[in-house]
Amino acid sequence: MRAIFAREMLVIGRGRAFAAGVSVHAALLGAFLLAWGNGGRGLPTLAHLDFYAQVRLMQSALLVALLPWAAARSAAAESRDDTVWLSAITAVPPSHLILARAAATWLALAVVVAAGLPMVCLAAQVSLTPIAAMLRDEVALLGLSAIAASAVQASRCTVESRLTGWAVASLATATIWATVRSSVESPILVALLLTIAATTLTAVLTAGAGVSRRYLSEPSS
Amino acid sequence: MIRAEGIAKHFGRTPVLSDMTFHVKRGERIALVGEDGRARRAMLRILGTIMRPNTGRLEIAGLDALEFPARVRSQLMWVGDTFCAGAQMEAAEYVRFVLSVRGVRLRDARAVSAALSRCGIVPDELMDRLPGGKRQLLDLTTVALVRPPLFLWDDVMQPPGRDGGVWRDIVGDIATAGTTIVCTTQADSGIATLCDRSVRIDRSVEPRHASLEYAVGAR
Repeated sequence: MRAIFAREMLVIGRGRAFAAGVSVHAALLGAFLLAWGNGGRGLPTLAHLDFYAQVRLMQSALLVALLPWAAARSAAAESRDDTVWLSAITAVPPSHLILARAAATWLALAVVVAAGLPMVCLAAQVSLTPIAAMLRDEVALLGLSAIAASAVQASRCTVESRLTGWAVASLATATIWATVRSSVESPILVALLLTIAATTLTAVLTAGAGVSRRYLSEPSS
Repeated sequence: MIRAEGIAKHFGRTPVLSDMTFHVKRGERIALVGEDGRARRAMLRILGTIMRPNTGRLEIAGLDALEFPARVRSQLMWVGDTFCAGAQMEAAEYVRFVLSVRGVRLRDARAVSAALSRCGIVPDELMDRLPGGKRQLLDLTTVALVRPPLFLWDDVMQPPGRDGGVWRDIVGDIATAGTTIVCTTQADSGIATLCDRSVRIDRSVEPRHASLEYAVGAR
């Protein structure tokens, strides 16, 4: 299992999408800080929110779009039959392969989220936001990374077209995030709910993979 | 090692295999021969537990392959024109990965490097960039290092030139280790002569090899 997980991390790490996700997140947050940091430059601001809250709002919107993309693009482009072959070559059950892939994707997305931490720290300093509050908000975003990873895994297991799968996963991630965020105030509770949802979804996929990816697909004639 | 009885397979309404029955002893090298590539491939995939027959019984290494496919898979390894499990991995990384998932620990830490050097493959070369012949040598090298009880080999083809000599040596190492080898090849291929015996998958071409064994009820 460890070797399979390491393989997945290797594939993700060597792909360009992971590096692009980290870079885009850090760069856009940095640009936002530079552009809005001083305020009063004729740029639009949400006057009822302090600077830190505006950064978090912008970051959430960015990550809701970026995380599913990074997850969809960074994992190995393997089809359903490819998973069967990998299971045969490695003698690892398909369910373990799916689980390792989900865990690796989750970890990679957490790194993408963490890439914005330096800029968020600066924003918190500007708005005199306590570090504890900043860290709680960061934990909520880790919950977002979990649900994004699971949504992409689910779409890859169920939707044939990669593009459609990515679109479906993005929509699902955005919907779940918006629903949970608007219903629950505590960031820790948000993270907990999203993590439970992601874990449940992954468990269902893993259980299903043992059956659906046991044999190769067959021609009809 | 293998007991196949009454194996039949059809894709939709098209029969591909019909009432295949044959036995393979431990350590034997057999070739599944025939002109119908789809039939050869189907039979090998059934033996590899990645395709389920419509009817029949199959026992591999004492296990019911249809009831316990996962346990049977740990007893065998594949080489063929299959998807590349080492995509985006370096050659040495891929070999160590397979050894790791197969639970094989080598006594000599340099064994992987030595094996790759024998095949003329640079350890940090990406698997995706290896030509087909080199990738086959790499896969065979991995099988030789793992020494599984059963080795399934699809569409055997000896590479030309110097690689052909290395190929023969590696196959010899696999056979010497006592691994049972089942390979597929066309009936008129010289590969069948490397094996102890052959099993006909179809009767479309009269075999040239002297010791051919006909699978009972082959189409």
